[in-house]
Amino acid sequence: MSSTLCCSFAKNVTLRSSDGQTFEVEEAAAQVSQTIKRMIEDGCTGSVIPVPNLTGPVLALVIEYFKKHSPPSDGCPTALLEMEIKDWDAKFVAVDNDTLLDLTLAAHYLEIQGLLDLTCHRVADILNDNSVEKIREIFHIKNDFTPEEEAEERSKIQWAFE
Amino acid sequence: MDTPPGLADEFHNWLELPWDVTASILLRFDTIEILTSVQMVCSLWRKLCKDPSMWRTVHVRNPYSHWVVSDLEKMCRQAVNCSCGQLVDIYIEYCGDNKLRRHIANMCLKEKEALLEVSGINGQFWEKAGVRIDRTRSRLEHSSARAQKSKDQAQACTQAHYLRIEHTRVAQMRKDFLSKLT
Repeated sequence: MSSTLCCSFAKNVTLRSSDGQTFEVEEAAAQVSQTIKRMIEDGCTGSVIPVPNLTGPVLALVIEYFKKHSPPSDGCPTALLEMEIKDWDAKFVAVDNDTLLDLTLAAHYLEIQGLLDLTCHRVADILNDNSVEKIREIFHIKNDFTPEEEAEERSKIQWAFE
Repeated sequence: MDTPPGLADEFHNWLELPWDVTASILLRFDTIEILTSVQMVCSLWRKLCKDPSMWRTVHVRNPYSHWVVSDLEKMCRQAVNCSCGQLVDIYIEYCGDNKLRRHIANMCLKEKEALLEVSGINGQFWEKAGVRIDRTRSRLEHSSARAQKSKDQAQACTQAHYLRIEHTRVAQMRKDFLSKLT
């Protein structure tokens, strides 16, 4: 079990993406991910930590998130800092849909609840106030209903299409 | 953010998201959105939207008076039915005749520990309908003052009113949803 929060000399870990890129990051920052936290606690710190579900560019983005969300070394986060992080978060997920999907999956695999909430919220924001057709178009989702099924579903909520 | 994305290609499909993540996204939509578009997108989303735990929170708002009252009532009724008695948090804006309110009350009563907050002049109605109102925790005092203030509009039967059962956090709903899937 390693304690990193009050370490005056920042301890680093190395993360390796699926395509072999390596990134060095402070241990305390990487522990924003519950998955990585467990790996560190299990004693993987001496070597490189593999992150096989993420490619280099996605892992680089996630590490940006780690750095922004790592616990502050000098005590409690201030209200101002929290506001700044909130702004940063909003900009962080203002990305194209493919990147947003990558980040959502990364947050899921690495168990980063804050990032998962952020991306899910962003997805819902993007899709809100759009028609069925538009939602399918935005996210390239195939309509897999048979014409009969679709007609039946639509008849149940006829008012929405009048 | 100048780094281009690049996760393996097979993941570039929103339907590849784990179910619980998709459910977590769908839970963030308003009731009207789910009813009128989200559940029609594809069969997977439809399946997730059929689960009663998706309907524990029913919020029917009517921004810019986009919907006519009769449509809102239909949507409320359908949403409440979808909840199969698991309703824990309902907010209705500018809709609901006595028949609908009784229907909602009946559905809520299945949650035995239902804790209600009632605002507007309808507190008595809910009590008559057999809904237990926890006065120690409800905002009745505050609401009755507000109701008095807006008595005129209230009498016109188009008053904003809501009934709220103690709010359950999204995280809890997600947890319940997950435990049902596994």
